[in-house]
Order: sequence, then structure tokens, then C-alpha cells
Amino acid sequence: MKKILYFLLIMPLVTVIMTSCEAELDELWKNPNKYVPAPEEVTSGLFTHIQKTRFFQEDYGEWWWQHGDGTLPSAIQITAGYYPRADAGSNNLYDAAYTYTFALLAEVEYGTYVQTGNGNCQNRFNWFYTDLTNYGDIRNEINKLSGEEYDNTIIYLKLATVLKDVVALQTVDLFNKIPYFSAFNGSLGEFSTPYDEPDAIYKSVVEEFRAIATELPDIYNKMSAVAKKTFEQQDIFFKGDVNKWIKYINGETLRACVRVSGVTIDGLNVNSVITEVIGNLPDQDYTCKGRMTNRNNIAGAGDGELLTRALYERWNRLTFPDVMMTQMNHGTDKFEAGIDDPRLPLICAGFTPSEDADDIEFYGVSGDKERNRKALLGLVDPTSFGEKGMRRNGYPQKGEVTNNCQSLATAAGLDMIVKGFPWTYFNPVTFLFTEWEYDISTRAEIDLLLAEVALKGLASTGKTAGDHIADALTHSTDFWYGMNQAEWVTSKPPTTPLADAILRPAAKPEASTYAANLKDRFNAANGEEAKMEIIMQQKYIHLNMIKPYELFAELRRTRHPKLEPITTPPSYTQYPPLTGQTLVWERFRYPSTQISWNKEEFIKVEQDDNWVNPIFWVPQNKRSENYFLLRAIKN
Amino acid sequence: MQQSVAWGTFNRDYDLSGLRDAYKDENGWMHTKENLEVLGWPQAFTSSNGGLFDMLWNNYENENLDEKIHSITSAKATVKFLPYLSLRVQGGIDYTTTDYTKKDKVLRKNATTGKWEGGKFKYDVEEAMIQNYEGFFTFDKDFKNDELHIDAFAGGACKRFDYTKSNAGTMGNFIYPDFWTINNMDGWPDSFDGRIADYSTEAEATYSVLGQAFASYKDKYIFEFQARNDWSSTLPKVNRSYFYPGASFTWNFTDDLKLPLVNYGKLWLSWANVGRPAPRYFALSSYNVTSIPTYSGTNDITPVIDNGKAILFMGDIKPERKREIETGIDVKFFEGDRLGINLSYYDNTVYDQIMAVNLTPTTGKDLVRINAGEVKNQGIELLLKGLPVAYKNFKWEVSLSLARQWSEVVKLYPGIDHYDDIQSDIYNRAKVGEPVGSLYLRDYAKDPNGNRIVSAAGLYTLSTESKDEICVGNINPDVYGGLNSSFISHGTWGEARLSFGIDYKFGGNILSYSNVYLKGNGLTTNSLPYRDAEHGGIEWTETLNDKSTRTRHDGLILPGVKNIGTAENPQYVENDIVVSAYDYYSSFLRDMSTGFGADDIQENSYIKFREIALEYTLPARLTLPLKVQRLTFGLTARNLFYLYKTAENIDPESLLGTNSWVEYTNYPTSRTYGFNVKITF
Repeated sequence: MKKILYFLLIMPLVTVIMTSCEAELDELWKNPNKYVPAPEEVTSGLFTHIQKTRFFQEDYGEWWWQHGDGTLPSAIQITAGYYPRADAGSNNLYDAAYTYTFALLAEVEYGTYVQTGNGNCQNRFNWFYTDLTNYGDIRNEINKLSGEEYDNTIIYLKLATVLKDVVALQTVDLFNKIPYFSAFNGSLGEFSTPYDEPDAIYKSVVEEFRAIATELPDIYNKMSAVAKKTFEQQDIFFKGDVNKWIKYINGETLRACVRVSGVTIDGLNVNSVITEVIGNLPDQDYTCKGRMTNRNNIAGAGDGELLTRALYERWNRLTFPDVMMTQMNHGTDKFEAGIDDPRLPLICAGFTPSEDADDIEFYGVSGDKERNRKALLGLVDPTSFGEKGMRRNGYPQKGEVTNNCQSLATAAGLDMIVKGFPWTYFNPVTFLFTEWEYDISTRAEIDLLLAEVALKGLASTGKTAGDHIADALTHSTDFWYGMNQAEWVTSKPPTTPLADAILRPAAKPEASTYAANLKDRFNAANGEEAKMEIIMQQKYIHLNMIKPYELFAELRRTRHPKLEPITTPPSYTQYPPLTGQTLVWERFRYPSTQISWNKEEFIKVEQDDNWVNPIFWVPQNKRSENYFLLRAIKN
Repeated sequence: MQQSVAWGTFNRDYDLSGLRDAYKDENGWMHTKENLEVLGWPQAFTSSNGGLFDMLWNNYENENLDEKIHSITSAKATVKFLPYLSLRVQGGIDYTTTDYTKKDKVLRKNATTGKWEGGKFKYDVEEAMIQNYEGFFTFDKDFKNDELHIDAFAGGACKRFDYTKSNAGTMGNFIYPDFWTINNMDGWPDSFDGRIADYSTEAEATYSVLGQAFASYKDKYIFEFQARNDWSSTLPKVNRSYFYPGASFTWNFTDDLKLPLVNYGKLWLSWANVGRPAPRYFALSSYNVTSIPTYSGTNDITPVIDNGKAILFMGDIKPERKREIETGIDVKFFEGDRLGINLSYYDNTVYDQIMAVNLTPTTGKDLVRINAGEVKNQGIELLLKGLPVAYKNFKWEVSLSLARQWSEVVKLYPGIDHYDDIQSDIYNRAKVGEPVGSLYLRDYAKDPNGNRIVSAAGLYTLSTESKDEICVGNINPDVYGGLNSSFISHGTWGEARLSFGIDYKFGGNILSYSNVYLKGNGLTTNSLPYRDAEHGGIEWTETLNDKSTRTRHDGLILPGVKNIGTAENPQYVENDIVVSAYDYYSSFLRDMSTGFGADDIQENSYIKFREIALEYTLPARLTLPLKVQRLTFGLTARNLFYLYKTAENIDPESLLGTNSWVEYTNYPTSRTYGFNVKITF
């Protein structure tokens, strides 16, 4: 009996124990390594992360891949690729300026190479959706809210939509048809996403831009004071300034409208949209700090997350092409104030043959490899040619630690750059050694878009196209001087007064004379195409390495500026000359993951998955137009 | 090193023993990469990432020390209420703590800066604790004159797992050599880095209520029932509880059916539906929260990711279930059970599989964690046991096992047509109605008649069209098993046993990077064809850079066609493009530039001599006085050699993990030799 009593006592005890276990299971369900943000923290934090994705802040990997072998900047002649060598008769694809990847001889032979070399371009398809994944999460979070919580957070969804749309159009510009209207709907159980017509995407985005720009003030006014403060803190682009957001959105609207102005889209009157936004466009350069300081951190360990370290590591691809140089350095090779582009010493690294800061020269790289070889023979002692003898590196390296940012701090420093190898590189002070901010939208870009609007009569801008060109030159000079004069990185390399005077001039180069000359040259240009050539030359010079994808799109749309044909010495047998070739690299192919994971929809667009179909916004009369000049600019 | 050989960057002819100290200079410091190059060493030696000297420095100069303490404690108590009713309570703690200490020496003193380069100190601690607690009422009683026996238990159990890991280490160069402390850092990174210090902790628990009843009537008819309900912390609350039952029936027909030559026989039939929870935190949607160094106070939030992939969480994950029915027969023949046959058949369905399935990134996510699908498996398992020789002092035992399984994908999550696990552009595809483990890739570009099309370079390429995906094999074997045999002799001198084991596997396909690269680099005999006239190379004329020509005898023309029309209007004629053997084999190094082709997929069958063992046991009359029941000495050797294999040059078992179909110059399984002493008191 006693034992049965024990039994009856134990049973309730077991029940109590099992019940208390429920609470422990609840606790253990949570991951103690993850912070659980409050609802108001979630949407703002998700939004901020979009602003620091690679589409808005290029990181080390992005820059590094962009300037690899056979990648976009050298293919479209933003950079001249590898430094020229005197022995350019070699069959090595890389040991002379430029690569062949832009003008393909045969899709089958070169297609894979392009795809491999430009993996970053192709990856931008997937990155659009995965880097912007927070857009879908913000949307889902907002859908759960109502009342005051909704009023305080809906602004993040609206602005995330803007950023998502900006990248969507960039993605259309590379791939034409993309999944858009059903994208980001995985959480709704939609695992297969149809591809949408690119003109419908453009139309929708422009309409969405207009709607958001219109409703933003009301949305902002409904936010509580605390929510506005959070927005100010979390918005790393504009610090919660809604008016700047509206101007930015209008600027992007202008860009989209100009892009499609050569084709007809049902239901979209670009002229009237441009007229609507033209009065409230960005009136200053919009930039933002990167997410890390000491982007080069050259005295550090050398293996951290360094944003433009990639440029240092890619030094030998960063020579400056004649396509831009001949539009900046007029007359002699020497820099002559008033005659030459004032941005030249800011964007490019000058070379002084006389160790005099007022005596600097610039040498662009030609598409004619034989010319490069001969020019090099005139500049450098031929007996010093070769891997060991020639000081071939404009970005000096220490002997035993090559390709390491740390080495630059203890090397000969910037003096070596201005007195060393004369071939022109991008200016390392501007691009490497200052904490310049990322460009969100620059005023000169807007000026150049307006120049085209005025030139083609798309809307009334209140100025002539020539005026806009002159404005662009002035504003671009301001921008690049600002970049050049930004704060030094913490551990700047050794420098000298001579190097400082050449690479980081104390006074802003005078721009008004050259701007007036440029305007005259523009006005004197014969016909719309000749004027478009100048607009696009200026776009190339202004945006150069910071917006290669924008330039790639504009190049294909306008077929300007004309590129140099890549010609090689007769002994160069592996890759024949491309003189007279038309461009066949009009778009990028879809990533292979689409075949595997979105097959049902992909097979509907598979016939478009090639290198040769132009993006929809290329006007019909431009589709067969040659991208190349008949011969190199300089003989 | 293996990769270096396969990739052709490391010549097999080097005398490695002669290189033992070549990585050090006269100070005992590591040579700089540039110094080594000046000394004429090739890149395979000097590379700072996997080069030979880098490996030697790591092996001979750096120190990695792992110290583990493992303790297992348990306690048990039984309260007997009635002769047949008891309460058994028991608990146990399994605790492991492991310290990892890493000490990397400084590489050298920089002559220019006067500072030390290199050096690393890192200390990691891992603690893992498993707690098990159980309480069962047990019932054990005979009825009906002992003809009916019932044995049962019921109660609750709890299992909890806790894991904590923390580490601290230096970054950058040391200030002082051989000074092993965290403070010995020449500089400090600008922002926090997990390589300096990190901490994480995890835990999970499962509570169970379970019971089992066993009823045997005359030892002929045996019924068994199980029932269990688990509550797991790794599943969302609504699906945390899951019940799984089971039942079986066994009929010992030895006495009921008097079959000729049969000494013993039984049949069984069982059914069960078991459940499994999700991996820890797998089903929990959460966020990564960081800050932006240059924007003080600004939150930066991203949904949690899995190896860089954005995860979609679709509702509440349910426990994974497996429903299985199994039947079998166990029969022993002849006097002394000289022959035994054990044959079973099973049919199971795994449903509500918990897994991460790849999504098209256009959904906004890369992976979705769901109860993904349903897979049906059927299989047979056969075990033959024989005693061919049985004398008083000597016997020979032999057993042969064989297993075969057929698996099919029955259902996938709505909206997902198929699931691909991609390695090296080869898809391991799960598709409804198809076998599990099917390998797909792009076929070679072919003309309408099925002839392979060569490119302008005269080499094959893969089709660029998705319709040309073909199934080229399956990762799963057709049949596998083993043969084990023992020769046992005993007498007054003791007992001796010689045994060996052979494993076999037939079927299953792999991609062997080693073989592709070895062939591409001309390091294996299958790259001999066409390399000269003697090996079938045809004569052709090469035009050099200076336009001069030379005659070569290493040409070949790949069977197939070439296109003399355009891409839009192709016109195929027989291929006559001569390619050099060098260019032909080099194409393997670039994976054909477009990915691996069907020719690169190999069957991976083998018969392996797994083990041989020789044991000697002393006679009991010698050991019993020492209070030792049994004392045995043994020699063993494992992983000896392959009797047969279809994939040359590689160890067929050295794939990347289980169920992998990619061999990537991995180390072969270790061959081991052992001597053992077994003492039974």
C-alpha cells in the first residue's frame, strides 16, 4: 500500500515537470547569437543595408573584378588595360594594351572568355535580386503594420522601392528582359518568376518614380519626431532630407527617360515626364561616405576589407586610353592650362621629364599596338626593357612584398610616380589615397543629360546644349577636384613637394576658359551626331572608372564616343586585328542558375540569351552602326 | 601537393627529402618569396598559399595543440513497487572541453623596417555537454504457466545539448618572436574582427514521453508495440510536438513448420513511422545586426544568411517523417547451422523532408528552408553465413552481404519543379518520377544526326541550349556489400584466428578532377595517343609567329562534323580540322571552357581488400591464475589495396563527403597497421 502511495505521488510530479519543460523549449527555440530587433529597428536597418550594397558602394571585390583580365572598363576603353610594352609582338593576349573582348570575332570562340572575364557583369543579374533582398523583407514587414507604426515606417519601403528600381533599370540595361513584376515574391510562394518586357519595366519604373516623388512630402510629414530622427540617422545617403531624395528621384527619372527617348513605349511620353521633373533636379553633387575609413590602409596588414585596394592591386590595368586622353590633352603632350582639360591632372597622373611641377606630360594608350611600341621606344631607354630592367610600375612596390598595400607605405612613394615610367595612369592620389566619398548622383551627369535633352528638343531646359556642356565641364572639374582634395588616408604614402604639386595641386585648375572653348567646339560641331560625340566624350571623361556600367549602356545606346580599333603588328597572329568590326557584344547572357532554378520561365527567353541582341532602347537607326573609328586616333 | 601534381605545377621527379630545409635561410627564417625565386625555385614551391615551402614551414615550424577532456558520468536508481512493477530513474552527463592552441612562428625580421613579420597566436575553447535524464515504469510478468510473457515500459525522457565556443587571437605581425600572448600584436585593426575574439553559444533540448510493450506467446509469436511523443526545441511551437508509433510481429516457425534441412527459421513484419526534428536554429528566421563604422549609431540589418545565401522561411517547419514497412526471413540450415540466410525487404517513404532548396535568386532569396518533398526507397538486404569447414579444432566461417536500393522522388514542394545540387556545373537532380541522385549536364553540341560538332579550333564544345541537358548517370551504387571470412583453430596451445574482409561497390558515377587534370597535363598514359607518330599522331604543318612553318606529328582529327555555314544556317560536313595533341589535352584543363562533358563522368565501382587480422588467444589455463578471463594479441591491417576499380589513379573512396560525386585531388583513405592486446577480466 505504501508503495502504491509513492506511485500516486510521483505521477503528479512528473506532470509538473513536463509542463515546466514547455517554457524551456520556448527559450531554447531562440538563437542567443542573434539579436532580435524591435519592429522599428528592422525596417530602417534593412533599408540602410540596401544603401551600402555594391550597387551604390563598390567594394574591394567589385573593383578588383572590374579591372581584371578582359573585363568591362578595358573592353569599352574606359581604361587601356595592361600597360603597353615594347615587345607587343607577343601572342600573349594581355601583355599589350586593351583586350579583345568587346568586339567579338566569333561568339563561340570568345563567348566563354567574355563570360568568364566579365563574371561580375553577369553576376549583376543575380545580385540585383539578392543584394536587394531586403526590399522584399521591408515590404513584408510593412505589410504587417498599421496606424502609427505604418506611418513611421512606410517611407523606408518607398525609398527602398526607388533604390530597387534604379538597380532594376541597370539590370535591364545589361540583360534586356528580366523578371521584375513578380520578382522578390518568394515569400508569397512564387518560386518561378517570369521575364518581363524591358519597355514595360522602364514605363513602370518611371511611373513609380513620379508617384513616389510626389507623395514623399506627405509621407514624411506623417512621421513622428522620433521616427524622423531615426530616418535621419539611418539614411546614409541624404540624412533624412526628403527634398534631396525627390531631386535624386527626379534625376533618375530624367536618366531613364533620356535612355528610352530613341524608342517608343506605349503609354509613356518621355517628353512630358522630362518637362515635369526638369525644374527640380539635383543641384549639387550627391555623395556619401563609405562604410569604412582607411579604404587603402596601406600601413595595415594588407588583407583587410579595403575598398579601393583593388585598384592598387590592378595597377597595371589602369593606363589611360587615347579615347579620352585625346579629348583632354590637346596640342602637345604637355599640359597647357586653358588649352587642356582642367581635369587632366586630377584624373590622370602627370609625368615630369624635368622635375618641374609646371612641366608635366601625359601619354594616352593607343588602340594601335604598334604605335604604342614605337612611342614607348621614344620615351624609355630601350636597353632597360624587360621584366626586371624597366621600371614598369607606376604604382611602386617594395621588392620583397609585391602587390601588398602595405608595401607602398615604405616604397619610394608618390615621387616615383611622377618621375618614373611616363605612360599615363589614373591619378593614384585621387583614386587610392584619399577618403573620397561614393557618388550617388553628380551634377555634371545631370548637365550632360540635359545637354542631350536640349540638343534633341526633348524638353525645354532653359539653356542651350552648349551651355549645359560648359556647365558639365565646370561641375565635373569641381567634383574631381573635390575627390582629389579629400582627406588623405590615415597612412598616406611618402610624398614630396614635387609629387604633391603634380598629383594633388593646391589650387583648383582654372576651368572657365576651357569650358568656353569646349562650348565653342560643341556649337561648331556639324550636326546632331557630331554633337552627341562630344556629349558622350564628356560623359566618358566625367564618369570614367566610377560608373562603367552607365557608360557601357550609354555607349550602346548612342554609339558614341567612337572607339579605337585594336590593331596589332603583323606578327600578332593569335588574335587578328579588329578593324572594321561591328560590336557584337550588346548584352550579357543570363547566369546558368536561371536554367536550373527558373527553367520554366527561362526557356521562354532562351532565344534571346546571346551576346548580340541589342537592348530595346537602342534606336533602330543605331543598331547596325559601327562602334569603331576606321583607324587609331593618333598615327 | 596532390593538386599541384594533378595540375601539372609540380614535377613528380623532385627529390622531396632533399628539400627538407630549403625553405629557411641562414638565420632559420623563412625565405621571402622573392628570395626563393632568385634562388630559382618554381612557383609550386614558393607560393604563399599552398606552395611546398609554405607547407613545410607550417609542418615543421608552427605548432597546433589540441587538448581534450572528456568525462562521462551517470547514476541510476530503481524502485521496485511490486515484483513485476518498478520505477527506473537514470541520468547521465557527457561533458567535453577542448582547447586549441595555435602558435605560428615569426617568419623573419624585415631588414628595412626592423620589424618582425608574421607570427600568430590563437586560443580556442569549445565546451559541449549532453545531459540525458530518463524515468520509466517497467512491467515484466509471465502469464498462463509462463507461456505468455509481457515486458513493457513507459515513461519520460529529456535530452539537452549545450555548446559554447570562444576564441581570442592575434592579427597582423608579432612585436616579439615566440612570445605567446594576445597582446603581442604590432597594430590593431580599425574595426572588430571575429578573428581576434569571438564567442557563440547554442543549445537545444528534446523532451519525450514513450512506451513499449513486448508480448511473447510460447516464444513463437512475438508482438511488439512502440509509441513515442517528442517535443523538440528546434521546431516552431505549433509543430514542436510529434508522435511516432511502431509495431512488429515475429513468427518463429522452427517448430511449426518442419522443413527439411532447416534447423531454425523465423519471419518478421514490422511497421513504423518515425519523426526527426530540424537542425538547431534551422527553422528560425532571424536577423544579423551590425553597425557601420563610419556612421556611428546606424543600424545595419540583414536577414540571416546561410553561407552567403539569402534564406527564405516559408511558414512553420514540421518534423521530418519516415514511414517504413519491413519484412524478412532468417533461416539456418544443416546441423550446426552450417548455412544461414537472412533476407529482408524494406519499403519506406521519407516525407516532409527538412532541407534547404535552391531558389532562383529572382525570388529575392537563394534558398528556401521547407519540408521539401517525399522520397520513396525500396531495398533488399541479404546476408549469407556459411560454415564450410567445421572440425573439432578448426573451422572456417564466411559471410557475404549484399544490399540494393531503389529510390524515387515522389513529390516536391509546390512550385518547385526540381531540385538541383550543383557541383562543377553538374547537377545532382531531384525530379518527380526520377531516381534520386540522377546526374545531369549539357550534352556536347551535336548536329541533327547526332554527330558531335567541333569548334573552329577543332575541339568539342558543349551545347548552349537547355534542352540538351542529359542524364549521364547516378551517384548511387547499384549494389554494395562485403565478404568476410575467418579461419579459427584452437587447442591446448590456445586459439588462433585469421580473418579478412573485402568490400565491394558496383555502380555509381563520379567526376574525377584528378583524372581530368592528369590527362590534361599529359601525366597519365591515357594522354599518350596522338603525341607522336608512334602513338597515332598525324602529320601537320604549324605556322609560327614569324610566318615560318614547321612539321609536327602530333595531330589528330576529332570524329564529328564542323559547320561551314553560319550560326543561323549551319551546314555540317565531316570534320577535317587538325588539332595538336597538346591543344587537345589542354582543353581538359579548361574544363572544355564551357564545363565538363559526358566523357568526363566515370563509373566508380571497386572491390577493396579492406582488412586482414591475425589474433592469438592464450589458453585459459595460463591466464585464469592471473584473474584474466581472456588475453588476446592481434595484428591488423586496414585499407590495404583494391582488387578492382574502374576509376584509375584515384582512391574511389576519397570523395568530398558522403553522397558526393566529385573527386577533387583528395587524400586517399589512410592505410593503417595495428597491434592490439585485448584483456578480459
